[in-house]
Amino acid sequence: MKLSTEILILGGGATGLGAGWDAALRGFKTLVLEKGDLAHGTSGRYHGLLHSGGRYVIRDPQSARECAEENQRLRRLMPSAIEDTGGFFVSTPHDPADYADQFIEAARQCQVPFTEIKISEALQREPLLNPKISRAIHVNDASCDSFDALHLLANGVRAAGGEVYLRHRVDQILKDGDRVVGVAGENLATGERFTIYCDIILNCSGAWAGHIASLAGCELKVTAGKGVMIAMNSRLVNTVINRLKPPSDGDIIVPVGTVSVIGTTDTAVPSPDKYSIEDWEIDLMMNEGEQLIPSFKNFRALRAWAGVRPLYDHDTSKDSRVMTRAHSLVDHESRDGVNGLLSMVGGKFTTFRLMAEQLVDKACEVLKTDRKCLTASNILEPSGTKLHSLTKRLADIEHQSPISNPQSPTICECELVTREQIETHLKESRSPILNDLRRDLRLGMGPCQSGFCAYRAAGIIHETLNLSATQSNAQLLQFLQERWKGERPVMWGHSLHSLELNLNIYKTILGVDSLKTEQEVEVYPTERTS
Amino acid sequence: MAYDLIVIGCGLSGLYAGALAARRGKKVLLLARGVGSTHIGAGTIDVVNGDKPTLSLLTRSKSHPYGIIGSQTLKDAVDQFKTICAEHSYPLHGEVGKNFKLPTAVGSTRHACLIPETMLAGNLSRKEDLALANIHGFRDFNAHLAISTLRVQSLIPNLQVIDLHLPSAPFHRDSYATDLAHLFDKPDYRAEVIALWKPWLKDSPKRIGIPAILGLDHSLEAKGHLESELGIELFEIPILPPSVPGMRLFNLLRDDFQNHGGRFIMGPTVTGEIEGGRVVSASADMNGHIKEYKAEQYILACGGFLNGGIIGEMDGTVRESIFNLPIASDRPEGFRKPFGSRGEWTNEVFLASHPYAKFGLSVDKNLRPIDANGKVIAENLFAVGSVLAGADRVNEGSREGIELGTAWKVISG
Ligand SMILES: Cc1cc2nc3c(=O)[nH]c(=O)nc-3n(C[C@H](O)[C@H](O)[C@H](O)COP(=O)(O)OP(=O)(O)OC[C@H]3O[C@@H](n4cnc5c(N)ncnc54)[C@H](O)[C@@H]3O)c2cc1C
Repeated sequence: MKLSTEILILGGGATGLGAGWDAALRGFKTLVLEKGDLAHGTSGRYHGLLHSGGRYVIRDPQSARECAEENQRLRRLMPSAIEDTGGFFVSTPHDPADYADQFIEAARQCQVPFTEIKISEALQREPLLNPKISRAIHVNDASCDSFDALHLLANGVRAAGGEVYLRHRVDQILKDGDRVVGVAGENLATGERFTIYCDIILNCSGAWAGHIASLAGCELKVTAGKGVMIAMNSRLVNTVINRLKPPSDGDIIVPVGTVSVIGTTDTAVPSPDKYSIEDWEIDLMMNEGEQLIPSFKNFRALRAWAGVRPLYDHDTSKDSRVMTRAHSLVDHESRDGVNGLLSMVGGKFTTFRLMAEQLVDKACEVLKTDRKCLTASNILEPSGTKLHSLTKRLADIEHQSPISNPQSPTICECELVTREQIETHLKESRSPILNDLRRDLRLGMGPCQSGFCAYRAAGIIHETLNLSATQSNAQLLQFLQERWKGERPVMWGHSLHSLELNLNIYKTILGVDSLKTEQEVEVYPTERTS
Repeated sequence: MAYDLIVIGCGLSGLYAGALAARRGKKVLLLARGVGSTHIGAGTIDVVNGDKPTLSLLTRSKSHPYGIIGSQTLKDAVDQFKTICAEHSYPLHGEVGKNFKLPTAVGSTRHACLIPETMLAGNLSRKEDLALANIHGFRDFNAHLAISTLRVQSLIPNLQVIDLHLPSAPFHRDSYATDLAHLFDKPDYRAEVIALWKPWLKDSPKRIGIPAILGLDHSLEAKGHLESELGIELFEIPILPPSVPGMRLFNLLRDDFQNHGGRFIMGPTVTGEIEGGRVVSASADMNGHIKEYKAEQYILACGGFLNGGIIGEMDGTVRESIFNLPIASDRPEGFRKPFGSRGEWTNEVFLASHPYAKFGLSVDKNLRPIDANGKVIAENLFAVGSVLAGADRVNEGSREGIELGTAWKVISG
């Protein structure tokens, strides 16, 4: 496949899709390439907090200001992805006593809105919170669902005339002398090679940015910093809870959908693709959770995962413009003498729009055209229904009894996913995979750890897509294994019961371990005749 | 009132031990918090995945429950169980040392030693044409997937899917296997099914598999009724829980136990007290109302991780939940600690064998729990079933064999 575009964006996370939307709105022919599914990278594995800026008021005032502004913008821009939970900063007995006053002073200076509230009021709103807290400050934190947000952005790119290609991995950057002219790579869904020519490349590949830059012969020192998060079985809090102390590990709880997520840590790992979650990281998080919610360990930990931050080693002698401490825009022309390649490294989910704006502004400069950024005043409309609003799903299911619609039984009871939703999604998706239903519909994300829905959904995908037995079974096995990755770090107590139940279902009753893999299968006709 | 025997747990092992003791005229009390693995199993008696040599490997292992009870005991236990089932007009087929190969709901093959008559025609060693019924709107069985896998993995030449509907039923939610089983128990409902299905089965293969929903109380009657009216051979395939064939076994044993004078209390959380090398009592906590029961002997049949008999804590300790007995891992050093770290309990591959599976109680040759020094902890306490150390039941396909074998061993000596 050969194509050409004006602006080519590498990486389909918040930054890349944000840049794609921005560029497409400015009228550029725009294409975003992502090697995985939407939200495959850090954007799909982040903590889910739309920062108020509070976390940065003391250490990094510029980030604080940017977060405060972008927070307000994103609430207008993508209301369907954001839940206005509000946030508390609280002083537990373990936190420095004078931090609250410093916080208040700094917040005022950074223009991060806040109100100090009475302890009794904080405890009334969040009854599980440690009753020994001594200060409580309300801020504009919110919870932002990355799957929803990225779907909105991808729709936004397409609606503005741009394109987003998933499962397209770039492994080559094409140059003509010192000029970057395009990329080559593989469509991982079909195995086909592709070549795409462009006027400029925006490298938005997050923790992978160093690798992409190296394909153009540029050295960009980006190392990966891993952060671990744990989803607890229920909404222990309905407000984001932060601590009044210098930012560190396991000090934020964010209510996201049906769960609450505690995080995070920061340890350097050798590669963004290869890392594991250690027992001590889980223990640390659970112990820190107890400081905020005294009964924390009595609740069930559902799953754990990690995301990787790009840690950018600023080489100030080379970098002409270090935008802020939080994110860096690198022009490889002035830095490495390579024309037509810009890299955006670091930053936050909360500030993706701003980063995209700065990046596309720079691209306009390079392409010598003057086009105004339009993202700040546009609204991203959800296409069709909102992806996973649990309350809406419940209402739908209740009003549609199985008698009136026997075609659409509930397949995932924990997250209320129906057969109809799965079928629709499979038909609309460009590269439908069972594993993606997990991200897109939350299938299998609930407390039963996909014990019941995985089999049901494998059957549906088999029927709907007319797959061969080998293909469907391979998808089922992959789905089970992917779920297991998230569950394994928190395997104790109730989760061990669940594991045994699921092993019993999948090995003892269904015998999936004896499903033959591709090489072993005997050759018999596989078409479905009935 | 004092009992001869108190059994704690009502899975297959607890019920079987209770029934066997009651049959011998013992005064038996059975205490259980809830149902055990019968309700989530396949409803077959699995002794081992694989052939005779695999079994003898286990019966020769010192640390495996089969090794402790020996192969003759295992065989006797299974035979006696067959006899009891036959007495209740729910005959099981098969014998130790042989396995049926049966189709699963994904179309792979599972091994089972004893199977009920409702599964007999599914035998994959028979090569006659076979069809699976896809029941419209029923989530827990997908015949399309099963048949296409079978086309690749079995040697049966003609395999088909038949799409069938069920007569409408007044459900205001999605149906589970048990909902349908209750309907199939009713002759009137079956008559409607027959009328609806008949035209669709005219030209189909005569051997037809359906999900395991063929009635709870009258399954054989239901099978016979459908078979004779439709002119087919019918068989069940085990599906997602709740397990209808498993519940039949549970009901059968419970009835047998109670018919022989056993007393069954379901609901309380039980804890036991050991004093001076003897169990002195079992306390049953029913929502805060605590009652103490005493007996000469006690059988611990509380199950493993699956049923809360064994609990793995976040801090890395593993404990037995009723008497707080020491748990052994399969490591030679033995007890309490060397479970390694939590991360070592499991394998990174979901379908692989997980080390925690073999955690459990170490016992002497009479199945009395022992401590790290090999000393019996309480002379009147015996442990049976899935709480025992040394077996990976899921991987070996040995769950029911161990449950029946160890229960029989304790009662028959
Ligand atoms: C643990 C953790 C918690 C966080 N919590 C928060 C929070 O609560 N709030 C907040 O605002 N921010 C948070 N952040 C920061 C935030 O997640 C990131 O700043 C943001 O998601 C980065 O988005 P991105 O698009 O730059 O990178 P990514 O989302 O990683 O996107 C890069 C994409 O590039 C793709 N790619 C890589 N190589 C190739 C290739 N060769 N070809 C094609 N595609 C390729 C990757 O697959 C990936 O999808 C957190 C970060 C971490 C690590």
